[in-house]
Amino acid sequence: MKFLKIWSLSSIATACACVASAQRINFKPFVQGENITLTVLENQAGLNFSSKMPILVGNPYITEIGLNDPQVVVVEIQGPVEYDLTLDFNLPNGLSYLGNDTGTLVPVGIRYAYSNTGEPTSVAGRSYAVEVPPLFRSIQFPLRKRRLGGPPPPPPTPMHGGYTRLRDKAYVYVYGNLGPVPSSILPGLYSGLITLTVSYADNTL
Amino acid sequence: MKYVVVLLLAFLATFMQSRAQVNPVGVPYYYFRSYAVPSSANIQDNLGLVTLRNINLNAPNAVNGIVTVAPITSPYAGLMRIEGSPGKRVRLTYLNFETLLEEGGSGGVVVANYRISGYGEDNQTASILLDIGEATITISDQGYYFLWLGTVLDISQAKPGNYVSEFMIEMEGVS
Repeated sequence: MKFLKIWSLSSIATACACVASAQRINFKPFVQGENITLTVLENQAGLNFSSKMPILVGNPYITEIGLNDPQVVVVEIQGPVEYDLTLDFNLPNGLSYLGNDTGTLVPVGIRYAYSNTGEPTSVAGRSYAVEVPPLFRSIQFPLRKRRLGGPPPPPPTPMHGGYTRLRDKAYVYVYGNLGPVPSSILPGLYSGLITLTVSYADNTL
Repeated sequence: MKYVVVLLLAFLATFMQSRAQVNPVGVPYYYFRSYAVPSSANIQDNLGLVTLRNINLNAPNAVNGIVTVAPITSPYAGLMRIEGSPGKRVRLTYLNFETLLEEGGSGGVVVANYRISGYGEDNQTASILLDIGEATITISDQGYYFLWLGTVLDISQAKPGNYVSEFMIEMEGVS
């Protein structure tokens, strides 16, 4: 009986410890079958500066693809409407010849913007897009923009039987500028990879 | 005793349930998604031609109806500079023979034969006569190649008036 009492007390203590750690809310474990999906809507071949400026030569000029240009790469993010998202960008310092290291890079400045106003199409969302300042490699935003001035919203409803979480779309626009191109550069195709990682925001940090 | 066991079982059941919710077997998690956006630019060879000095056909005297401006030696030769990537090979195609008619319709005819010499530096006397009509040259380490334009102008059938022409040269990068 005494042994049983000790055992039960220890299990209560474990349970209490469990409850204590649960005060730091992390919603990630509750994301079950609620996948983030990324779909490229426009310019699936990537950000091509040659489609903006067909003849690119070594000169001090800068070729710019702006937010409203047709060459912008548009990525649609789908996920549960109540969640916050973290966007991480891994950007190249410059474009290299055939992707190899030849010592000469064509300077490139990648910019991005997001639109989370719940517009049905990326074209409509573009007019509400928020441009992220240059050099920002990581940002966090709610999948659906919240109203200003009100109290913070309740945390996401946990999954339970028969509950279907609402999903929504946000859009990310990738654009930027290229140049100046070094004058003594080897002609050819210069390329680089921009890696975009979208994850559910970790609220415990 | 019975009460304690029931309490304990209740605790265990709650604990197990929450575990099941956190880590259901066979349900994949996708906390994040990645996508790589290729970024590219096709840089083309930067070839340019700058005319530094036009050929001067007024100054030299005609000998037996022929005005001669030698590209290598004459101070009246035209001078052009090709700018491009160092070491780049460039094929030049140019008009080497031309017949000019007097603009006023007087029937005067001037026959022009163009000659071109070239060198990697601005040194006319060191330049080499290029093949007639088409030549392949290599741009110097400084990114330049100089061309001197001369001509043998037959003005024996010419009449007073205006004779206008433009010397055409085409450049094409050779890989």
